Amino acid sequence: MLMTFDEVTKKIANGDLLHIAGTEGLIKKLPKGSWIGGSTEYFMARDGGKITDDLLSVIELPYREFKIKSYDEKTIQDITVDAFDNGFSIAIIPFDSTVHKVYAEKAAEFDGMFIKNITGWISGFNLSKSGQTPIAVNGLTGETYYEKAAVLHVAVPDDKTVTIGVINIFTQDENSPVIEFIEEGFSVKNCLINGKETVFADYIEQNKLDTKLPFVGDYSGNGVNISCKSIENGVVYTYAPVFSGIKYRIAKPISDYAGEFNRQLGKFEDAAAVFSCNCILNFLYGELEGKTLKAFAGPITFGEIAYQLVNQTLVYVSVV
Amino acid sequence: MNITPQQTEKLLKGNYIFSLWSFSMMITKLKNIYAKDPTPTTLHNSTKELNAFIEKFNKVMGADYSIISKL
Repeated sequence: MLMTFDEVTKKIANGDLLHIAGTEGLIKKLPKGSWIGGSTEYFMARDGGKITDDLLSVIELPYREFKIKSYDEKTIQDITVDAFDNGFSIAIIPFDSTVHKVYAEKAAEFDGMFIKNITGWISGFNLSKSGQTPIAVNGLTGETYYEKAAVLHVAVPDDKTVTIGVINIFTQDENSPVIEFIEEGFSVKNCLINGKETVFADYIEQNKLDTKLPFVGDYSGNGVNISCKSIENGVVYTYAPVFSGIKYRIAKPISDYAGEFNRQLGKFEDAAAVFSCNCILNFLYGELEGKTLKAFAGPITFGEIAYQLVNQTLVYVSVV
Repeated sequence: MNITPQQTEKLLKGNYIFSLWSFSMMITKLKNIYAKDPTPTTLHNSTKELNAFIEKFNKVMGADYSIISKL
């Protein structure tokens, strides 16, 4: 729910356990309390997508047992060690920080990943303004992090089960060749197109591919998107790392972005999500400002975490 | 339900499709590990991890549980 600074301050004083998203300047001024926060000026509210620097998105978490910790690139692997056996952890990681890159590249290898429920988002800034820096904040200590993740670990009652769900409106286009990568990471020069070594940037240019469409990795029945950031000097830069051993294809085009989102969201209206976030690329490419989505209000983010880093998706947590 | 190393091997060599996000991510990770290191130790460790997952999440696995139970 979007609230004013004063309203949020009251909730913090009340001792509520909160997840807060908002502009860097406001988040840093909030009083200490039981909360974590991250920077963004983009939101999906009940009455539609918004860009604002004077409201904060607040998600109240109705749980008593929690801890808030911070991790840098050397300690982020402990996120699964510290997570409660029955619960979930929300990590807020500043965009382009070293811990962002390490998490993106290594998370799947962390001990207990997929058994512990790790979600969260990459914090960002207003793309139309200068002078903002992505941050994460530990509300308990009041510390602002530029190069660390702030993580809220939450325990849920023993009779409940947590699931992390992903709504991905993109699927692999069956007409696309299979794309594979030998080198892993956020930048790609060479790839295999149906087994033949090719410069990926050349393939995109020669086939006039729409770089607003992600390429989608096949993960045993679910698709993980890799969104294009830029192409420079024959290298394709991405918002999530590519991995070897995964078969990717270009995504099937979508003619009505918001419409497709709402069509898919209709299946999840009863998900009773306790947390959700949605990608800024969905917000921008889907022109979601002013448009309403059926469910899942929350921050608009520069990357989402559903165990691993994902792109161009909506991620949510259900407790059943 | 506990799956055996033989069932794990079938799972990791096959092309099964799962719905639960976390399960499909885990299967993909274990498949990649097994493809690089197809040893009894890898199978043993994968089996242990899979059984821990199934024990914790069987309530929400739905159709995925049915697939596993038929391996």
